[in-house]
Amino acid sequence: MLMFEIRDFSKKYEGAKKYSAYKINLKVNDGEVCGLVGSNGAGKSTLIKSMTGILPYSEGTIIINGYDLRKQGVKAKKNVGYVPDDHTVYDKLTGREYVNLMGSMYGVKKRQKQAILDSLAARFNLTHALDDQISSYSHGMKQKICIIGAIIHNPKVWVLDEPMVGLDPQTMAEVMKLIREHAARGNCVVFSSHNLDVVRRVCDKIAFIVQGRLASVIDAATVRNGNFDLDAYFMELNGQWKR
Amino acid sequence: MEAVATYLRLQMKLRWGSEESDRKSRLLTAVVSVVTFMVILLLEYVLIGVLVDYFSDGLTSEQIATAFMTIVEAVLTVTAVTAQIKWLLRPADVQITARFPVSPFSMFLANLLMIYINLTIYSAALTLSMMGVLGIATGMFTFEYFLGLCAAALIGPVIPFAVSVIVAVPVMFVLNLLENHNYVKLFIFILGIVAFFVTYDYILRMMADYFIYQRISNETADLWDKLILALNSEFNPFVYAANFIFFRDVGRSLIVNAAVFAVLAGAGMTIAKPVYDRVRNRALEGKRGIFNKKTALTSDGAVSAVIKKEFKEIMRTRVYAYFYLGIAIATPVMVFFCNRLVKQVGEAQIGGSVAFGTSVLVITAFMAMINVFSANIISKEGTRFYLTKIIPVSFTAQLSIKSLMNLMVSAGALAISCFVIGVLKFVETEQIFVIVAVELVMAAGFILNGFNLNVRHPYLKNKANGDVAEINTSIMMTIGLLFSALLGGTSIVLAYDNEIKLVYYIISAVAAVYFLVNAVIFFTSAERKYNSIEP
Ligand SMILES: Nc1ncnc2c1ncn2[C@@H]1O[C@H](COP(=O)(O)OP(=O)(O)OP(=O)(O)O)[C@@H](O)[C@H]1O
Ligand SMILES: [Mg+2]
Repeated sequence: MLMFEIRDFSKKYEGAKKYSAYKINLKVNDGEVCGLVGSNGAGKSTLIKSMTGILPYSEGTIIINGYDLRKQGVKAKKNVGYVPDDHTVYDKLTGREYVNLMGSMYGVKKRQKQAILDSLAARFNLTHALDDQISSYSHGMKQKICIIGAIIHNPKVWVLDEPMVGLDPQTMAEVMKLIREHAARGNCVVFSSHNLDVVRRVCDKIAFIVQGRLASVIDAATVRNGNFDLDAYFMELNGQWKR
Repeated sequence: MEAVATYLRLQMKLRWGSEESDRKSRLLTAVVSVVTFMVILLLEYVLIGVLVDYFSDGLTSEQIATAFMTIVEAVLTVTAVTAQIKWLLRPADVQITARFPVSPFSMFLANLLMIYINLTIYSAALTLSMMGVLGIATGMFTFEYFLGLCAAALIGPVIPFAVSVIVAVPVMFVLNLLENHNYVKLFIFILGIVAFFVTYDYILRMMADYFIYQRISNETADLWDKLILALNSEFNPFVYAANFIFFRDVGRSLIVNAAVFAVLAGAGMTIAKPVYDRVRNRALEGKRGIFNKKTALTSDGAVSAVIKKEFKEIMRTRVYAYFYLGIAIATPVMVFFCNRLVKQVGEAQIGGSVAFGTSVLVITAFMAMINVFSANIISKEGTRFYLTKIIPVSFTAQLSIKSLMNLMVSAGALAISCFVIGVLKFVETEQIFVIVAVELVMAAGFILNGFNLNVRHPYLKNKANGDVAEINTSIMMTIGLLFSALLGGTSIVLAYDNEIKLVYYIISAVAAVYFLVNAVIFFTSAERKYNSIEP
């Protein structure tokens, strides 16, 4: 079942001369994990911020679980969970308060919050810090609380912008597992990463973005099974599009 | 020395440099500052006119000028102390500057130089404009007077700077001591607000007295007389800057300036430098919250979750918590004070109807103050603004929740104020109802106006030097004071020889129109404008 679709999406920032994303088309089904790959400034965060409702856009259509993000914004947003790349949160709140707040926004009941928070905090080794104010958290701890806060409502479309940055190896493994588990429950996951190894291991499809355009989408299974060299492909793609 | 120069240049760029994307807001800031300044100059012109009219026999224009120059110097001193604390003792950019290959002493020197240069600019601007207007109002503006102003502007920063070097450290120590004494801080804060309103009220009423009844009470005249003479005393160090305006006693004035500078600045440097080093080291370590609180998970809906979050953030951000608490306590005190004053002075001279006008004046200004932060409601989210965009709650709903919270605070302060003036029978019962209705509508108008402003001019990224853009709040404050003067002034003036009912109709109409205009703008464009903000 189609969970998430982008049609002819283009985005130009206010006052910018160039498009940061241009005529992008992408479909992701339930059960699928889609990786966004591209060099710095390629437009990954732009795409992600647009599909979570953060950035306004005028060209193209973004459909989330059947709802048009522009026309039925509130309903579409109910189905999205977002982990930002700079993990800024309400740091006056404690970790537990933040997760509670995020859950309430999406109408999650106490029981479900409790279950998800308990299990994820344990997996991420964060239980001891849940009642501390977030402003005292370290880099990675903030990232962890962002991840928990974004999945607390079991979103149909889970979007993560460079989720692995700053995480210890053990947590990284947990996050990869979590992504797969979430997709397996009938949802889809879209995330960006510079770590091609992670992308290779977790994704079902990999979307390559070069200078705001979707250069190609390849099946990750072929990468894992055959002798497809992802790194070489990446270099080659970005070589072709010299600025 | 070269390091100092480089560092100085960097600091100038950081503090005065323009950011390309910021052009519009800079223009806006400039316009608002110019307009505010013009209003102040106009007020000064009028005030000087009044003074000269009344004191032409007792006091000379020179004495009035000297007194005013003292005020300019006092403003410069406060500016200097603030700059010292902000730039030297509590620098926001210490983490960045610490990486530069510049010795702490060079930075210290560069910062002091920076402050001095800044003061000189302020001094020139203030002296030329304020004292220029004074010269025109008193009719003593000549080319020679202008030359004198230039000389005074140049000498102007010397003593304020010297004073600030020595005063900044103890002031900061006191501030640090107060850090954990919330009640004392609250008390001082309330005193400050009360003082502001008493002054505001006093000057406005003096002007009204003069223009409506063409006279000034003897006590008022006496007070000003004494004040101006005191400021002309030889023991006022600022007289030695004012002297240059009239080129009197130039030699002695130069010596005094030099001596004060040498002694104070020298002593200050020896004290300030070690403190500066310690403070800097502490700032480098960074401060982290150690707040820990056990809470339970809940089954709230989105609306109550937003309300709770807003509330927690406010209570855990000291500035906001103080602000609201302070206002809530200061409001009735203020209203009581103003009305008592009116009862004493007003009834004898002007008549009882003025009590209603003063209440409107004071309460409107309060409503504006309570709600200035509504113009900051989006900027306040800063880098976490994206959260308001991803949650499945419409923007109008989110803003409406916030406006309801603001309105609740306003309603509380209003209720207490009206209770006070009602119990003490300063105004009639019927008038209390009018006040409640008009002020609630005004409060709602202020809140929506603030939102409309902020949604068009969101400042989500703090400036490089750590300052949060506060232009929106100052615009709202200006608008608020204008409405306070408009509504209060209208009430006072019209109530004098008109049916009081007419006054009710007029101020209700003004409030209603203000509210409606802002409500229409809000409900037709807020959603769209909010959505188009690019974080
Ligand atoms: N707020 C903004 N205003 C104007 N241009 C922007 C803005 N944010 C990003 N851009 C531009 O859009 C393009 C894409 O940026 P984006 O942040 O989407 O890249 P990215 O793929 O996420 O890069 P990275 O891997 O470094 O995170 C860049 O050219 C960038 O300069
Ligand atoms: Mg990015």
